[in-house]
Amino acid sequence: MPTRRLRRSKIRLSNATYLGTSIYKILQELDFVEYGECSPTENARLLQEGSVDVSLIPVTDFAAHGGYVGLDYGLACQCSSQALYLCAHQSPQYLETVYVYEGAGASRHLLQVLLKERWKCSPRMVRVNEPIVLSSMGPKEGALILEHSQLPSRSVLPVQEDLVAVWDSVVAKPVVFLVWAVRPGVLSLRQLEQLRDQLQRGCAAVEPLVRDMAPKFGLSIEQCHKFWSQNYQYYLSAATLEGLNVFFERVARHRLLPKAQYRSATRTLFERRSYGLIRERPLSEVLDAVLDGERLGIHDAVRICRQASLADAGMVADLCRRKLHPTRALREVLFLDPHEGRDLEDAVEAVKSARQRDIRDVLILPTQLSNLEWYEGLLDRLSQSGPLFIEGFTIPQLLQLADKSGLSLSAVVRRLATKGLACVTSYGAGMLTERGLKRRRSTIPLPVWLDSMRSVMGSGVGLSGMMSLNARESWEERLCHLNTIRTLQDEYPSFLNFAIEYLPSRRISMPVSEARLRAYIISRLFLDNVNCLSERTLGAEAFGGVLNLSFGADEVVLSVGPSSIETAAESAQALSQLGMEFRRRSGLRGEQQLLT
Amino acid sequence: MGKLARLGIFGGMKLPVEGVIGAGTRELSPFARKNLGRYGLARIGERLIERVPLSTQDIESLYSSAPLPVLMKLVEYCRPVQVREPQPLLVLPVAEWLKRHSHTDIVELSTSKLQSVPYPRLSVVVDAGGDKEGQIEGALLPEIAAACPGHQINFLRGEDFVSLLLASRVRLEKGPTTKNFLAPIVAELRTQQVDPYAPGAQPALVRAYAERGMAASVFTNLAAFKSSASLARELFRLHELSLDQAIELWVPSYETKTRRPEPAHIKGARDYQLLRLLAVGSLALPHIPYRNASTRYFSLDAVPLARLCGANDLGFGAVDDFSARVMRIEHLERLQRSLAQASSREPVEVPPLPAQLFPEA
Repeated sequence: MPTRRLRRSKIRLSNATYLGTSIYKILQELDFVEYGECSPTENARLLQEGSVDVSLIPVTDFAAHGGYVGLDYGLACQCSSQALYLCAHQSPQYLETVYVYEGAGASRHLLQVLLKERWKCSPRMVRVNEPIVLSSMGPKEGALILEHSQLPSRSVLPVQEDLVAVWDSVVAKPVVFLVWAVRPGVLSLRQLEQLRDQLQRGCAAVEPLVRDMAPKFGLSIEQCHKFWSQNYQYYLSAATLEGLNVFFERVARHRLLPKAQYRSATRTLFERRSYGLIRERPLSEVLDAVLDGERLGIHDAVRICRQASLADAGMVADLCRRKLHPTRALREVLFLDPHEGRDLEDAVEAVKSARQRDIRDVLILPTQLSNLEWYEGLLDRLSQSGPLFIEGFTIPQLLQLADKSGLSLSAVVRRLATKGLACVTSYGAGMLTERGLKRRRSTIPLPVWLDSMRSVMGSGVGLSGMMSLNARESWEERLCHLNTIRTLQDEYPSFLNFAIEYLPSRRISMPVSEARLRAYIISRLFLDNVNCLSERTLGAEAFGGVLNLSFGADEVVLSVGPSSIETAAESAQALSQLGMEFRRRSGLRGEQQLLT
Repeated sequence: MGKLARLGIFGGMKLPVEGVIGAGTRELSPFARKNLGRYGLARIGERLIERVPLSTQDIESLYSSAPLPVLMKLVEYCRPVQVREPQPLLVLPVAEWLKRHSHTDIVELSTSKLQSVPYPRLSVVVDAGGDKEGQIEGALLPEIAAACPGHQINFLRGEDFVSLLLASRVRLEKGPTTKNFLAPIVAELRTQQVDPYAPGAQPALVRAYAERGMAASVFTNLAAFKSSASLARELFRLHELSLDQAIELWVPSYETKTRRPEPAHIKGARDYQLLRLLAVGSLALPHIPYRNASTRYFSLDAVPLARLCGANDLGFGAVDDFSARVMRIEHLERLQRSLAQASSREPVEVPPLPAQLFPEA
C-alpha cells in the first residue's frame, strides 16, 4: 500500500455529518487541518480514493480495506443505542426481507451477523433510498431504521429490537460503529499527537451535544447526559476495541468482510515499531486463505497485484476458477445495433439465422437511441422467434430513455424486462471512482451511477460488470472499483458476469502485459461473489484472450455480427485446439455440450 | 540465528523475499507443495527439486494438462540465473550489392548504414558470396569494419537462421568470425543421408558440431509433432542426447512450409502453445544451458512471458526494416519496449513506434 511520502502542508480530514459526531468539529481548529464533513460511507470512499487523509469511517470499511490504522477514537455504543432498531410485525427469525436505510454501514453488517447467529435466518436485504414506510410492511418484512433519520415512529410495529442491546446480550461487548482512520505514514508523529489531543478535548465537551440530543430522546438534559455517558463512547478503550475485534471476527466468519484486526496508530511506551508499519501476513498465507474461502481485503489485494509472483497468484486464481467451473465455457453472442432508421426485420432475420447456429444470446447496443416503445416492440418481435437471452443497453442509455419517456429508471427497466430484457451492460462503468469517471469524461456523477446500478439490480434484471483497464489508474484505484462491485453484489446479487475491458486507443499501445493478467487474477480472487469471469477480447487479441483463460477467466464470449456468424465457428474450432475443455453455454439455458 | 531479509531486489524491483524463489532451492515451499498437490503435480515438483530427470509420462502430463501458471511455478525452481538480452542485428546483402555496385560504393553504403545504428556492439549478417567469397571475406568486410572504429562488429555468415543462432554463441567463445562454418557440416551430413533440418534433434548433427569443438543448437518444431505424446518423446530423447553431447541452445520453434498469413486466433493459440512448450522444455532439458525465445517464432506479446517460462536467450532484434523482413524477426527497439512494458506490474502508456523505424538503404 503506498504511503504518502511527501507530506502535504495541510491534512485533509473528513468528519461524519451525524449529530453524535459533532463533537469532532473541534478538529477544524487545528492549523494543519483542512476540515470537511460527509456521510461515513462517503468518507470511506474518499479515504479509499485518496481524496482525504484522515476520516471518520464505518468500521466495516476499515475491515474491508485492511490497510488503515485507527486513531482510537470514533463512535461506539454499549448496552443499548435507543436509535438503531430492527422493526417488524413478528420475530426476526420469520423475516424474508429486511429494508435497510440508505447509508447503513456497520449497522447493516451488525444486523446480518445477528440475524445469522441470534435468529438463525438470512433474509434478503434491500437498501432503500426513501424513508421506509413501516405501516405498509408485510408480515414477513422488517426494517432496519436509525430512528432519527426516519420520519415515521417505530411504534407502529410490535417488534422493535435494539441491535446494540441484542449484540450486548450475545457477546457482552460494546459495538463500534465509526472509527477515525488514517493511512499509515500520512501523518507526522507531531501531527498525530496534536490530532489525538484535540480528539480528547472534543470528547470531554459533550454538553452542547447532550443539549441537542435531550429533546430527541425525550429526556431531560441530566437524564440524557447520564444515558449518553453510559451508553456512548468516543474514546475506544482496550475493552471497546476487544468488542470491535470480536465483531470483525464474526463478520469474517460469515464471509461478509475480509478477516481483519483493529490496528492502532498509537505507539505504546514499550513498542518501538513505527505507527506507519503494519504487520502483514506473508502473501502465500493470504493466497492460501483466499483459496480456502476467506474474503480478500483491499490492502492485501493490492499487495498481491504488486508483489506476488505471477505464477503463485495465477495458480491460485486458476484453482479458484476450477472450484467454480471445472470446464471453461464458450458463449456466442449475436451483436445487434438496431434503431428506428433500420429495418426491424433485419434484426429479426439475424436472430433467426443465429438460432440456426444454436446462438441464443443477443447483445443489443444501439448507437442511436430511439424511444422506449420502439425497443419494447423490438424485444417483443425478437422474443417471438423463440426463447432468447437478451442483454443490452447501457445505464446512460436507460437514463436517457427514462428521461425521454418521463418514467423512473426502474420503471423503464421493468418495462423492458417484461418484454424479454434479461441483462443490462455496464459499459461506461468500468471504473466506478470519481477520478476514473472524470478521466473517462463521464457526464454522470458517481452517486448517480451507483443509484442507477442499484435501481437496475433491484428491478430484477441482471447486470454485466466490468473494469476498464487504463494505464493511468493505480492498483488501489482498481481495487476500489472492484470493492464497489463486490459491495453492490452483496446487496443485490445481480452481476451475472464480469469482464476486463481493454480498448487500445490510437495513441496508446499496451501489449499483453503482466498488468493485464494480474487484472484478471485479482478480479477472480477479489470478486468472490461474482460467479463468472468473462473473456471478451478473444476475437481482437487472440493471444491475450487465450492467456486470460489460464489466469482466472472461465468463459469466452465470442461476439458475432449478423454477417459474421460463420466466423464464430472458426474461433470455436481454434479454441478446441488449445488443450482446454470448453462447454457451450448460453445465458438462457446454462451449460450445454462439451466442445472438446 | 540472525534476522532474514524481508525484501530483495529481483528484476530491478524491490520485492518481498517470499516472491523471489530462485534456482538452487532444495525443497518446495509449503505453499507450492500444497497447490501443486491440488493439480496432482507435487511429485513432479519434488523430482525437479531433486534434479531427477522427468520421464516421458511426466513431460506428456505437464504439456497436455498443467495450466500455464503451474508450469511457470515449476520453472521458478529451475529458472537459470543468466539471461541474454536481445542483441542488435543488421543484414548487409553485400554479395547482392556486388552485382550492381563498385567495391568503394559498397564500403561507403555499408559504413553509412552501420554508423546510423546506435548500438556499439552489433551483429552483422552478410549473405553468401558465391564466386565473390574471397573478395568479401578478404577485403570488403575488413574494410567495412575498419571504417567504423566506434563499433564492435561481429560478422556472421549463414544461409539460415540455425547458423545465425549458433553463431551468436560461437562468437562469445572465439571472437569475430566470418567463416561459414555450417556449410561443411551440412554437406557432410547430406552425404550420410541425414537431413540436418529435420524437425527433431539430430544426433548426427550434434556429433558433427562436437567433432569441430562447437556446441550445437537444437530446434524443436512444434508444427512437426501432432500429439503431446510424440512431443514428450522428442523432449526426452533430446534430454538423453544432451547428457552425451554438448548442446548449447534449445529453440522451441514453429515452421511450416506454407507462408500464408495466419488468422489472429491461430497465431494467438500458437503463441500460447509455444509458451507451454518452452516451459515444459525448460523443465525437461536441465542440461541445455540456453533456451531461446526469438521473435521469429514468438509474438512481441509472448516474448516477455517467455522469460517467465524459462527463456534465457531472447535472440536478435533487427535494427532496420530490411533486416527485420529478411530475418523475419522484430525490431530491437520494439522488442526492448515490449519487454520493458510487460515486466511492469502497472500498465504503462507508450505511444506506438512509427511503422518504419529507419529509412531503407
